[in-house]
Amino acid sequence: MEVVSQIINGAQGEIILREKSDKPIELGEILIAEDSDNKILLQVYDLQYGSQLDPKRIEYASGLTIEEKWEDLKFHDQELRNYVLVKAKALAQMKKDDNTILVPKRLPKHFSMVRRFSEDDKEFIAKQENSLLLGNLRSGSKDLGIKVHINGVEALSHHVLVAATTGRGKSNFLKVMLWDVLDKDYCGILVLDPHDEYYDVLEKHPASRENLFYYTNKKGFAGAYSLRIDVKTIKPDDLFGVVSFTEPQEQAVIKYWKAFGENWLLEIARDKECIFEKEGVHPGSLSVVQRKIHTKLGIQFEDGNFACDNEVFDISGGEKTIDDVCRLLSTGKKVVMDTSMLMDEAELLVGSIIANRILEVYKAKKAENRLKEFPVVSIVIEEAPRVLAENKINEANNIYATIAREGRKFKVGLIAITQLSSVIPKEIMANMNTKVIFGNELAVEREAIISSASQDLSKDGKNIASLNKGEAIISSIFTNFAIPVKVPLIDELAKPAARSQPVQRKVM
Amino acid sequence: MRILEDFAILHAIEELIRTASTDAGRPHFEDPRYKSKEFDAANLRPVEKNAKKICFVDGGSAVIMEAPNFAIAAHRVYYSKYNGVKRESPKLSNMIEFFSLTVSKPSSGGINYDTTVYCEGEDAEPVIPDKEDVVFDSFDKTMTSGPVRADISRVAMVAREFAEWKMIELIAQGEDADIIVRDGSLQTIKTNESKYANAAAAACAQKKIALCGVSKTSTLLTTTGAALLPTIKNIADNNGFADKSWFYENIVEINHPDHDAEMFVAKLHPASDYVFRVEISKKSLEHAKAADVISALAVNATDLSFPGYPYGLINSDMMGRVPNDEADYNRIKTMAAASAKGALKVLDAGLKARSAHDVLDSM
Repeated sequence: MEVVSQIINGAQGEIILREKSDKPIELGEILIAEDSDNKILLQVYDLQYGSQLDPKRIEYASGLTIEEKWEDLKFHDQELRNYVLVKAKALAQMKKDDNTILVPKRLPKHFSMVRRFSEDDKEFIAKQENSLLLGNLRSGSKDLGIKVHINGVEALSHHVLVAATTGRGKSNFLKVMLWDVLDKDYCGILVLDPHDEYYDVLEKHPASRENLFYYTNKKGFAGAYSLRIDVKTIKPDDLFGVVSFTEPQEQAVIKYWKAFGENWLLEIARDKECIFEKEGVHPGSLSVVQRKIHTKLGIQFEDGNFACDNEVFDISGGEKTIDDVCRLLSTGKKVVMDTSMLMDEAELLVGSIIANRILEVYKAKKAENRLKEFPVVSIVIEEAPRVLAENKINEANNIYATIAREGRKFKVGLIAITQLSSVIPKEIMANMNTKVIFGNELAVEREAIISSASQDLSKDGKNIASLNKGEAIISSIFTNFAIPVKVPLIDELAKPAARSQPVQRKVM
Repeated sequence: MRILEDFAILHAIEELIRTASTDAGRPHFEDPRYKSKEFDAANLRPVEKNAKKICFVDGGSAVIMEAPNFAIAAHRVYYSKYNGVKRESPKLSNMIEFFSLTVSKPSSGGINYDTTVYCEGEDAEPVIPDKEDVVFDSFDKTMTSGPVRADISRVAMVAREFAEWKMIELIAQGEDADIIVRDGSLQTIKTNESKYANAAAAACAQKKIALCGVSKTSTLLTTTGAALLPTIKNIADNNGFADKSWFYENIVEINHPDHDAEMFVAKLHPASDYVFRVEISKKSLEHAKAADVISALAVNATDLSFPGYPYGLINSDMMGRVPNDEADYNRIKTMAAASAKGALKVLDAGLKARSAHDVLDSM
């Protein structure tokens, strides 16, 4: 056993170790203290200097060195008298006889020797059914090469929050996760991809031909489906969740819905006379609704003809797109939609339409008691506060908020990505039962995540602040403890696959 | 307080220092067996650096329980070993712990203090003083202050002081060392102490090991009432040694049977604000040079926490100490044991006879 430190003091949740001078320990490192019956997994959350010397004496000694430059003076027995104190918390306790993992309810023995986590300890990371890869186990900044999986059905239906500031590796994480599940049929995943960054990598997966479906309007792009949605498939509820309307405006929309059914949106856009003025629709309200539909969705009538700025919404095609996507998702396929040409609200509307439909379908399956035959469906939303912020969740028919609150009952979940966890209300945060926490310098953001985590991360503020790119902490009700991970680079995963199988794109 | 506002005390001290610096006189020793020498800057010597193997010995005691008629104490004796500045593993058991019980007993119409030592294991036995050497008259002049009976807790410490000398003897016999340094003077004061000091010095001489004492404090004065060590430091500072390490010899010729040593004052590092009294056993100087011994101390006196003081003594002081919390723990343990044997009332009655000020302290 290579000893790196020794337990010298502390209390439950704050175990103090002394670092061995030639075995430096990192913030976030995981360590093992063991006795004859148990192994206790410790994680470092703070480091500080310790000394047998009075601080004033050390300050004076520093003066002798830097001001008077006495080169022969030094601390004798330096490694005995000046050292690093390590603060750690016990994450988990494993019984050696049957590898049962428990929440630690006792302290490791005083003066226990402590070693680094090794291959022999990998039983702490239990194998899971319907595995979903979250990264490799990490100790400090060292990738231990042990894959960390979670039960994908449970985790995806209970929502995943990916909290990260720009450049910390959230896109890579999502790519890795999607790569891992691409050949697994327990989940269907819809990715609304505003930067059109996922398909290029995922198509290299050996199973992409069968399981990956790409919708885009990019010209000359073979092997993709056209992202075209018939406006007749849009319902007022889809719109209400993503575009803000006043009550009179909402009443006007409903009036047209009742009068024209699936043509309601076209009729609103076309109506120059305000045909329902006598029935209470104010021309001003109609005008605002028309303007919002134009500015947010790009839909209008020019010279009596339908026109759409973004080519997504159409009146002469795309009538089956939504049904197709729902069918794909409910058969465990992965669908990437290139929404890079859409305005924010239009992108959310597309997601909202699909989310509404899939939830309806799954509710029906549940009523038929057939839900267990279907895979979990998860919808990836970038910049989640656009639909999950405090001022958004209570808007009528916000399907994303509905899914966040009750989607798990119907096997529909969200993968919400955000830089601003603090603006998502606690109620929603509490429903996100798996959190992938990347580095974040903002204390307020860290606090929002820590206070809603599934494990006690109250000591992990510095730890989270110090995470490098690609390093994360997984806090989930489906893991025994908050697991530090290093997310492998997607290029490394994709490379061998790309070599072994040439890309074969689907051609429409 | 007018006295402090007027700086009356400071003025008096200032006057004392001025007088001492203008007329230092000569080193003052009351005892005629100490013949002091005139101050002379020619007695100053530069200190070179010359690494040697040195063992540093120190110890500590703490009273666990004390009544007028008994005292229980815990003792520790420790030594560390350095080659220059590098710590070396000791060959012998370098930390010895034992307990003692000192009780008052009637003797020839008077009262004796009789100490019994208790230890576990074989390591401590060689340093335990002989039983008959730790029985003292309660009015033994080497332990009293004035015409009152000696403090029993002070007598209880003597066993450890003797054990320190025995430890030196053991080191001399079993260690590979050039110098053994003890914390304090080489002068023996207590009754029976010289027996142990002489044995230690003889063992050192036999192995050609220099025996040395370094005192942190000094009460020595000059004939004009000045403090001796600062006076010598002034001489050094005024004679081109201010920024150097040095030692001063020819302070006094000692002809005392219980103080077989040469006395020096040394500044062991140029950055030091302190000078120390260093003593070397006369027997040692038959085979070693004072300059070499002091040079070796200077090599070790380069710790940033206390430049100019041998680091080995810092370490031995820390390790040899019996901390208060350890004494408290032992006190509780003893009380618990007494309680288990139904003897707590007896013990408690004895303790109450002495410890009323503990009650006042807690108010």
